[in-house]
Amino acid sequence: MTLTAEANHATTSDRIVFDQIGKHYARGGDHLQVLDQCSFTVEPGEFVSVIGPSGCGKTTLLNMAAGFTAPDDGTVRVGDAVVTRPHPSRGVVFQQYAIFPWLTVAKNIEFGLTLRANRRPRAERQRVVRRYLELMGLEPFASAYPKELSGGMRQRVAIARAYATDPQVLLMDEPFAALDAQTRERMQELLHETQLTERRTVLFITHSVEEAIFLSHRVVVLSARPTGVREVVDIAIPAPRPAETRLSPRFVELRRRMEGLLRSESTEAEGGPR
Amino acid sequence: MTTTTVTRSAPRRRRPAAGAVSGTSRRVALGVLGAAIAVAIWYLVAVSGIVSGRGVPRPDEVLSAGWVLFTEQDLLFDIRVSMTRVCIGVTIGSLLALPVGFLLAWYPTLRAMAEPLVNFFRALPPIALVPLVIVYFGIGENARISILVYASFFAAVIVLFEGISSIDPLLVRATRVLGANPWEVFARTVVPASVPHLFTAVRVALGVSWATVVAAELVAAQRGLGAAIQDAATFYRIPDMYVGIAMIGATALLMDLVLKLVQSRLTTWQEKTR
Ligand SMILES: Nc1ncnc2c1ncn2[C@@H]1O[C@H](COP(=O)(O)OP(=O)(O)O)[C@@H](O)[C@H]1O
Ligand SMILES: [Mg+2]
Repeated sequence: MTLTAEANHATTSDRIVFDQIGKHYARGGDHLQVLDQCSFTVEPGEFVSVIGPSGCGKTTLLNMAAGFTAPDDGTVRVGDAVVTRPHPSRGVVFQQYAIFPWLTVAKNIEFGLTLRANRRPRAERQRVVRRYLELMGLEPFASAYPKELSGGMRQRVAIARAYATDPQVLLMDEPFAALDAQTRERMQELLHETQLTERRTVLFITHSVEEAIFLSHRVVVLSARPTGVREVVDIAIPAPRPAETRLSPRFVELRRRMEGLLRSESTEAEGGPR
Repeated sequence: MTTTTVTRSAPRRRRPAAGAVSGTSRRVALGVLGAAIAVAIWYLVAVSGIVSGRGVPRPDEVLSAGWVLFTEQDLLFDIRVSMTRVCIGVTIGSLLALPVGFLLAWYPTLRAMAEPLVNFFRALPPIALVPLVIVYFGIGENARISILVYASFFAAVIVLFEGISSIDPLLVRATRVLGANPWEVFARTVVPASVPHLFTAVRVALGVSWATVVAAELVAAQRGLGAAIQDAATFYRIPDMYVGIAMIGATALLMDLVLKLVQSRLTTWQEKTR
């Protein structure tokens, strides 16, 4: 595999900063404070997972970084710029794949490179498509339509499509949550390997402790609503991490500790005032 | 890069040919069986004489009347005349419905304003419009076509805006994060996602148009299936009326089959939900 300019690509201009984020929704006549004073940073080239109980505002945070949702308080910055709207420099992978059913796998991956904002010459497009088809193990499916693919394969297409436009930052919202356990582990390993060669700044949302530890440099554990940062855990396990890493004592210890943190959050939420 | 075992099996192509063929021929056989049962019941009703007055002609009487009509009075010409009217009506009606459907789906305010009106006009029976059409358009071909355009338009508009507004908003989001401008979102995502709905709209418009053709041909038509039926009614040629009615149904069925075939060719990417 040739390392091109895209490969070691992270620069200081793509630090993601969540600065004192607050967000509330009107619910009926009520006021639901979802996020409150939530601050953390993803360093350039770093893989950071955000984990927290369901409904605590993880998707809301990601949508802010993507530029779909504006915070009520605080700012989200990528590099020096405050995020205000979607931009191809920030790729998104959605839980529900969101690949185009009327395009073949290859055309899906190529899509972003055919748009005005990011158009590339034909030869370059083909080269990029070939590269990601290979990286994601999708070559035999290049001319297949999404309806012919399994869930795991569809998500590979979505990931390839996100990498192909060469964004500084990748935002992934529980991309493997809909997959079965085995496929899920295989996808985690594939994503980990991809990161080794295609290093990007990644913000990864999950509710699986194991997934967060396996993939990340650091894990941000969120508290129950109104959500802030409970703790940031360093995952000091060197890369590359083979599948067996999941069984190593250090991994198991981290896992036990983080599950404890999450459990205390959910019991506090149940016992505490609504 | 390190390698993970990646399952590389050939993509699952369309269902095995043998199964598909037997499935289709089974459906055709059942359709024929249903028609045969209907004819048998018709025969029994005709010979039992339970229908008072002039009674119901037997199937064989209708068949021989049809033979005479085709060989001596050129019924095929009437079919062609009606078919042309329907095709012109559906084409104009759908072409007008297309931009209106997109606008209503895109702008919720517009839709809220227009939806009751659309339903109001759609509910008006075309036959009630005949006198009005004569007042404004006279008794020429334009008058007859305008009734068909009217019926096609309102049928197609409903199907189109329901369909287009049901397009997955996630696909629109995915398009935007890849860097698409509003025009590209429309042309590259909304339009292809609308193609199946366009086909459905045209098919519904065709059905409605055939159901309206008799009313349209009440406007002083010399030829056409509707005119032939009225002609037969004037002279109490009951079997001839049955022939005309059956030909409307048969032609409509045939045109729908052709459209369905074209649709399945052009939207092979679509997931079958049956
Ligand atoms: N558009 C919205 N309107 C009202 N409430 C919302 C909206 N989006 C999210 N919420 C609420 O905010 C909370 C956090 O949502 P979300 O960010 O999707 O959580 P998570 O992804 O962690 O499960 C949930 O309780 C949800 O009901
Ligand atoms: Mg979520």
